[in-house]
Amino acid sequence: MFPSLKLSLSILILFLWGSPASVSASEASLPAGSIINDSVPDDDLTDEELDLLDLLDEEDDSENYRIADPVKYWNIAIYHFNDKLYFWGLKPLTKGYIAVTSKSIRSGVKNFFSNITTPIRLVSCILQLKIKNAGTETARFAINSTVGILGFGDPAKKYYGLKPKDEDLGQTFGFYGIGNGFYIVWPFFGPSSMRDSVGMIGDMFLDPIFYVKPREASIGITSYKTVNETSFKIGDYEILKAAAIDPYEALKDAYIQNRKKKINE
Amino acid sequence: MTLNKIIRVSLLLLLVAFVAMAYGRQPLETLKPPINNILMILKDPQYNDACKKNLQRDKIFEIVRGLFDFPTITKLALGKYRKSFTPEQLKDLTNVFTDLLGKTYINKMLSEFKDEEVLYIAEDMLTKKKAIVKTKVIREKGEMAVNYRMHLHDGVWSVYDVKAEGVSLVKNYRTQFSQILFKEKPEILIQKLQEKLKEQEAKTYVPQP
Repeated sequence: MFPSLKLSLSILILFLWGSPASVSASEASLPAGSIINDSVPDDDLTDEELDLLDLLDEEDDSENYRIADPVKYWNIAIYHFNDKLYFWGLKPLTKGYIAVTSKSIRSGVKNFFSNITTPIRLVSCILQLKIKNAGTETARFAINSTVGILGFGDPAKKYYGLKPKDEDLGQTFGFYGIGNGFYIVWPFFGPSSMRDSVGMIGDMFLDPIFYVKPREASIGITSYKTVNETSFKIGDYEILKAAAIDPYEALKDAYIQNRKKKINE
Repeated sequence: MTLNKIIRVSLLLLLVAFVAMAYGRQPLETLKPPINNILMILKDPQYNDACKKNLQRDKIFEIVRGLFDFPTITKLALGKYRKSFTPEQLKDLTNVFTDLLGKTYINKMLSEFKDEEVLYIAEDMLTKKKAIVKTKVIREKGEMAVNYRMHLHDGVWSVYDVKAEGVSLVKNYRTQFSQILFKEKPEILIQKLQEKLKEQEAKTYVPQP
């Protein structure tokens, strides 16, 4: 008795609540009978809806969110390579890793790697003259390396409310108005742009792991870092792929939009 | 009057009051109850049973349908290509697009969300009829900034775009749609979405009790 009451109630609520949506749906279908409508689709949009369209369009033009893709065939090939790499290699590996480690260990490792890559963020903050953020990064490094025991803990955030500033050289270039250039997908590293690729190379030189000898050890550590990071992101790529009709385009657009947001921050 | 009747009547009264209230609401106030409601349904232990997952999903979908203005979302995602769609096609597209978005994202929530919290950060009124509500989703994996773009339509605020970490849902689909519509006819897009939806349903089929 009660479940059915609940159900009927929720349907009623929905009916009342959802009415504006359904009204415009029926509005859209109404002129189906009229002959003129085929060629004049603007008519079935209210002024308000056109306003919305204008709003989104304006934004697109001014911020130029589309990116050129002259090496599309290469990009698509590498996209498929990375896709297989993820589903056949990285994901099973990360699942095994999650099975044998606790969340606190993984968080600790994440903090540790975040701490030693402070130079990337610090240099980027300084170059963008974000002095306050540079101060935050310095304070975070000092606190977390000591009280946080080599960076495994994050007391700076926990007790002082100092959050890490997500900055890198690609964002720094963007901050100074350098455009994306064209879109490029790298094996292992994934989506990038010309600008961000140059930034990535710079970031590499600011990453202490790059200076670990021998080379194999450096690559090993980076791979481990990747697996650890992935343990916090498992499922994110899957949902993007599941909801997209064109996963390649969806990922490209998501990358560009996300970078734009980070640059504006 | 039996207890049941009393409950029914009082619920009905509550509902009337609720609907009356809804019409004077601001964007943030409109967004909060349904989202909190979804979080509550996600946490509700009565749905832990595998055979109740479908019911849980349907309930969340109902709330989402009430909050999101899917016809506008679809039109915005089509952009200038909406002109090549007949009203009939537009309706078909809206239906299949709504189902696809709802099914994939709700399934994701069902499989992943446990102790998520939503913080309401700000409500920016762009005009009298447009607003952005900024929220933060606190997940086990980390924080995620989620902004809702809302508009006032027939006296009710509804969502016409969601931005997660700067990625706008409408824009993301617009790039995908335009890639297809650049060379294909509207019915091909509808067909592609239908195929995708079938794929999703096949993957996430949960047997009814």
